[in-house]
Amino acid sequence: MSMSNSRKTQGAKLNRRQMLKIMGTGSVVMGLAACSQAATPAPAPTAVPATAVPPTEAPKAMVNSVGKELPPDAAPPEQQAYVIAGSGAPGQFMDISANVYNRASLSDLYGIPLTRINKDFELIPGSAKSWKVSDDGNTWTFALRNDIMWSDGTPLTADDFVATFRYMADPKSAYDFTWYYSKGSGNIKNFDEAVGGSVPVEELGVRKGADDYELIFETSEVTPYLPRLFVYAMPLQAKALAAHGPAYNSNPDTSVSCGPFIVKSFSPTRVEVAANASTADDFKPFLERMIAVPFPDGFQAYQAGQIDQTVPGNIAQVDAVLNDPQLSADATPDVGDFRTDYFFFDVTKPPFDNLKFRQALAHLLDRDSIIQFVTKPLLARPAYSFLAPGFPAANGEALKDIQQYNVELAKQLFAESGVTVDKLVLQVRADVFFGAEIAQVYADSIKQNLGIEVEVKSVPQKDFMADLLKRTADGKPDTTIDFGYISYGMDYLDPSNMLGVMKGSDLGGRHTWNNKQFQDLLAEAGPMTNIDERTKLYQDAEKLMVEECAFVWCLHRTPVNLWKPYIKGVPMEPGKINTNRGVAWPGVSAFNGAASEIYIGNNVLEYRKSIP
Amino acid sequence: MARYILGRLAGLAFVLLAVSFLTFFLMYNTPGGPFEELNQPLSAEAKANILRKYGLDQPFYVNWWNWITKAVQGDFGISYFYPNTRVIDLFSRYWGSSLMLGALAVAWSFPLGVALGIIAALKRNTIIDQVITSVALFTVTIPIISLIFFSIAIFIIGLRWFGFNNGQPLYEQPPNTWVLPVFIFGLGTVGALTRYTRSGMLDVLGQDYIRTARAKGLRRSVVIGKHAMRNMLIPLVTIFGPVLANAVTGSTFVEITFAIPGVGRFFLESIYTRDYPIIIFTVIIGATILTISNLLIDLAYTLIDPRVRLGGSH
Repeated sequence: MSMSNSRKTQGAKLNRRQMLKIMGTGSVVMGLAACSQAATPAPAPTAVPATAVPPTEAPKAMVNSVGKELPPDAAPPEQQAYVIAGSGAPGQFMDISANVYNRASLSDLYGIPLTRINKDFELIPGSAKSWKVSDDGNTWTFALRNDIMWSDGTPLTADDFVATFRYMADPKSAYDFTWYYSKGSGNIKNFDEAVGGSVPVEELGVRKGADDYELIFETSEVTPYLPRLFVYAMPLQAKALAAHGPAYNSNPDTSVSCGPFIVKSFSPTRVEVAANASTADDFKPFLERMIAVPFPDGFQAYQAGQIDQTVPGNIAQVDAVLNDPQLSADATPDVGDFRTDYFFFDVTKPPFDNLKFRQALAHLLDRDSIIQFVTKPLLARPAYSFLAPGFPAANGEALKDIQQYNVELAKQLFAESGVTVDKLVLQVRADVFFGAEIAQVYADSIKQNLGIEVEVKSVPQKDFMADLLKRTADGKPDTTIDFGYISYGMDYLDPSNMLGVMKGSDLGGRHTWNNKQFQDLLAEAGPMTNIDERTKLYQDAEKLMVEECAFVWCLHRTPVNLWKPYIKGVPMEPGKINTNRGVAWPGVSAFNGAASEIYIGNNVLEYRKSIP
Repeated sequence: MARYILGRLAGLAFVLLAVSFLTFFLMYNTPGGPFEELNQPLSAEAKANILRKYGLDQPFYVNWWNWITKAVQGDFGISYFYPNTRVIDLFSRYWGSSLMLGALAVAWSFPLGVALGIIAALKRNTIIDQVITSVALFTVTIPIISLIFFSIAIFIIGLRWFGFNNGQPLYEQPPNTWVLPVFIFGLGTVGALTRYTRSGMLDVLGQDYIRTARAKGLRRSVVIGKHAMRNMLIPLVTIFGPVLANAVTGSTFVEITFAIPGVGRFFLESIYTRDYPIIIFTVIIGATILTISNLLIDLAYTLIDPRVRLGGSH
């Protein structure tokens, strides 16, 4: 607990006696003032020489270095620095279109994606001001804004986007997020073929339209959610990409930006970016700088007053938040990336190929106790299905009974299953939120009620994924995890993204549950443009998945962010889905505009001694 | 002597060759790899592109040989995760902080440990001896991680007398970001040296030649400083080697918990991420430092004790 924080809080607040004293004094002064005004007749107007009294000037608004007027309650420009702990993971790329899993902290601030989301998760224009789709649904035309300039003075044009997509599809680039634009996701025409080297990148379904500001995408099948997917369509500058390669933004000498910030200094242990004057006015930030330092423990750095935002990382830190009034006031649970944590079975192998056995196990997960005693209600909600509340097509309430905790029913189903097994091994991906603890609670429940010993093994993330996605030499699924615990969060706000992960290993999915009916429902729903009918199909697919019990849904995370009280702006106000503070996934970035909208309030000096 | 040194250096080359081969073998045969997909599976083509780009589609011995042929020319490769930066440049950046941390920790802890050990030996069985030995015992037995935890909670979060490193090299930082880690890093060394020195000094003080020196009427300072100390140096030099090697290769615990950008933290991160070029380079540097420090210690023995001869001569 931060003792100095408490002191500051005490210092900043007035006790009841002080408040009464001030109110009393104020009332007396105001009363006297009112009386004196009433008693004194108004002076007759007299001619005053113009030079005698200078004209009254309104308080001058503060303007930051990129010419943006700061709100009245903002701190001066020199205090407009937002400091975060950074990811701690090594990475040099600064743009999602250059590389996804090796990005450094403060990436994705150097361009404006085609589309963005607001704090209510609604789609809003980005660098594309509008878009339309052809009658057959396969050709999309995006009209780009013509007022977004790169920091080297050149305009952002369709050529930059074409170069970006060609880079991502080029086999030589070895881009690590190709699935996003592949068949079943983005469906960009010839994308998979280009990645495989059978088609040159020039034949990709991305091209310039009638002029520099028209961008055309062709898809291999109807993809109504394409604009939602393009929240990640962040441009690289064609010229810099050709001259310096995809990591040009991690070197201040070669960095070029059309987004709200530009890289000022970069090292593996500290990244600092500065406001970019070249972008369009509505993307210019209030902040002067953003700084990321990969403090190994962001929570400690937050308590020490060295950073402005963090997430508690373990149960002791959650307890510290719950028990400290100042930290509790700073804490804001939100939906994050609508992440769901779940158990899964390899349904191709006994005993998990037995539906009744799977159903028996599904009824033994006591989600309420797990959330009450392990994660705490602040951090999670019980999950009875995959799609979290607020996500399109979410239907958790209606599906709640299918995997309800019911020990008697579980015992009955187990007896009916005819399964005889003494021991199971439950593998937990080590990075999953309270994974080992939750798995142990589940293991105890299975042991206690079915008499089956369950050994819980925590496996490092990389090893776990290698085992889960293992394939034979001829490409057939060959996972070595029969019973596991893992999570998934969205990449784009559409059911095709979340449910697509469960399409089955035969179609390139994560798990061995290859249900033809489920796959057909997904295939039918994907291209539909009627939202209600589409939602219904996805809900049917999800219901089937819940009934089949290849997965036991455990919890929907509600990650808690701590924000210092001086972080202000539109994203900090309540939203429709994030009802505490609207700032939406993926945090302060150019994907959602938060990087342009937050600012440091004029109460900052009460909390922050200096900027690290 | 020159022949002996050349022989040892030739041995060093063999050791490094063996260490590098073993490290490659272990890295490539541990399950998982640097580019395992984290969420969505990649297509076989996309995965093949990544493996080809980094040469990971080749057997480990091919990559080992490629690495050796480049390393002898001073090219240690490029990190998988910092594609714009050579491994040697990354290491240089981190090493400065580790060197400063280690040098400052040794600079305060080694002399203090030796001095306290001597005082404890000279004041044997007095209250001073008991206080010193108790404190020394405390510093060597308490886990360093718990000391770090409490010191962060009290001095950084609570009192805010100190702060975490802000990600820049230690030598560019104000003292309030490095005084605490330097103190904690040296604490264990003080305790160990105090105990080692006390025991060695008591042993030497009981020797006949010390009794003879006293009987001759030599001053106490001469007896201790000239006769006792010199004979006590051999065990001290023996432990100074590992202490020095540990100091210059960084303390993982201290660097990680205080956010110091040092070699220990750098090495651990590279293991987590399977950044093979960094792992192999750090292992080779560590092996070189340890081997050379052992050679220097052996040479130091000959200076301290003329009876010691190296290379099999008597």
